[in-house]
Amino acid sequence: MITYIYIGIALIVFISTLYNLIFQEDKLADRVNAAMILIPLALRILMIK
Amino acid sequence: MTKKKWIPAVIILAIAAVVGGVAAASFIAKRNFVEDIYEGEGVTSTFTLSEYNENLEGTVADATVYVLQGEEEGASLLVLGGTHPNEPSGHMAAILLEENATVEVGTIYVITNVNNSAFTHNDPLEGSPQYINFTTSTGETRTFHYGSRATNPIDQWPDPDIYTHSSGQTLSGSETRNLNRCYPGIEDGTITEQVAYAVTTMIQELDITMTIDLHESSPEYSVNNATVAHENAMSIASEGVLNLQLEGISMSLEPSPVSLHGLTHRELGDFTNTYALLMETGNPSQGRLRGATNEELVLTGEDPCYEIAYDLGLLYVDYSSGSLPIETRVGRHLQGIIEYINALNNNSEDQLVVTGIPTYDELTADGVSLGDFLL
Repeated sequence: MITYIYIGIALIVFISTLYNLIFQEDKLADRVNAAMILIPLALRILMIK
Repeated sequence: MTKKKWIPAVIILAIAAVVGGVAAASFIAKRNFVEDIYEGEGVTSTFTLSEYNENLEGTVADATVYVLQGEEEGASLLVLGGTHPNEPSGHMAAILLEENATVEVGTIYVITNVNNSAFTHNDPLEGSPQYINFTTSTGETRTFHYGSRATNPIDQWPDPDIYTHSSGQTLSGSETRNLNRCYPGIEDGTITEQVAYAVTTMIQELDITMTIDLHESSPEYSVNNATVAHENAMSIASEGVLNLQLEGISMSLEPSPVSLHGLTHRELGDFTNTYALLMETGNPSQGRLRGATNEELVLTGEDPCYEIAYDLGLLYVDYSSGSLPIETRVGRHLQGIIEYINALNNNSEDQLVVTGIPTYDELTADGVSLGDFLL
């Protein structure tokens, strides 16, 4: 059960961060920051068991 | 949604993916790297910990136990290396013991990687090297893990907020992955507790006479160059410590705290008949005052930061030479094993007769390196 909750939270964070990266962030540093969160988070969502 | 917003985002994500991919490749290689640990001539058989806890079968935690059995029956010894894989002299001392020793009377059991899961990753934010390398006398380079203090979160996750030991003792949640806080273990507990259960059960069923757990601690930590002994093992530990000191090897003797649970020197002494000892020596790659952390620091201990700290009286190991090479640390462990075996023989009808263990003097001789003692 906790795994599904975690995946759900991770997906919410992933989608909101992706939205911010594409539509909200203007500064390069903020975009890089978002991207460096998204890549390992994507791996975590895909690999968690 | 304009093209202007998509393109920079895609480019940045692509770069981040490359950076993440390079890191991921390194971590995956580390996870899957298998050390070549050769069986010494004295090894008569091997088995794995799942013999004593079937829940470990097929897992990364199912560590190999090397058996060195003499032709005559006698006393027995279990040496634990790799309880904390970020303490390399324990791991390497166990490997040198297994590759060099021959038992004539009695039996020695050696586990070189007792928390094998912890070898497959490094502690975050420490900048640790992933591997350490030694050149043997034949010119071969042998590579070994430098790991983490605790079980890989891939194998045991999530950590509780508070870790409650089977005794009722509470610790920080991450300690649930510290093998040396999980003894005597739980058969169907976390994977770390399962390993502890297997080791405890193995000692019980084989009635192992003495158990020595090999560790390192940061030079700033007071329990250093020390042996911690269960009260049942105090007479053997006292004699061994005295003989080490007479040989010029500083060693203090600490009693195992009765109220601190989960450690080998407490629980193995309480739950089995074994004489439970734990040895500590200094680890230059573990402390807070250290300088650049790399393989050279692990192997040589040369660190200008520790030289300054020593001059300021902040260290509990002798850093007057400016270095603390792994040969010195492994030599201390192996000489300690020799002396505790001698003390056991002086205090027991059952004998343990062993030859070939590299001594402190041999390992610390000029021009000698640890690789000279590897197969």
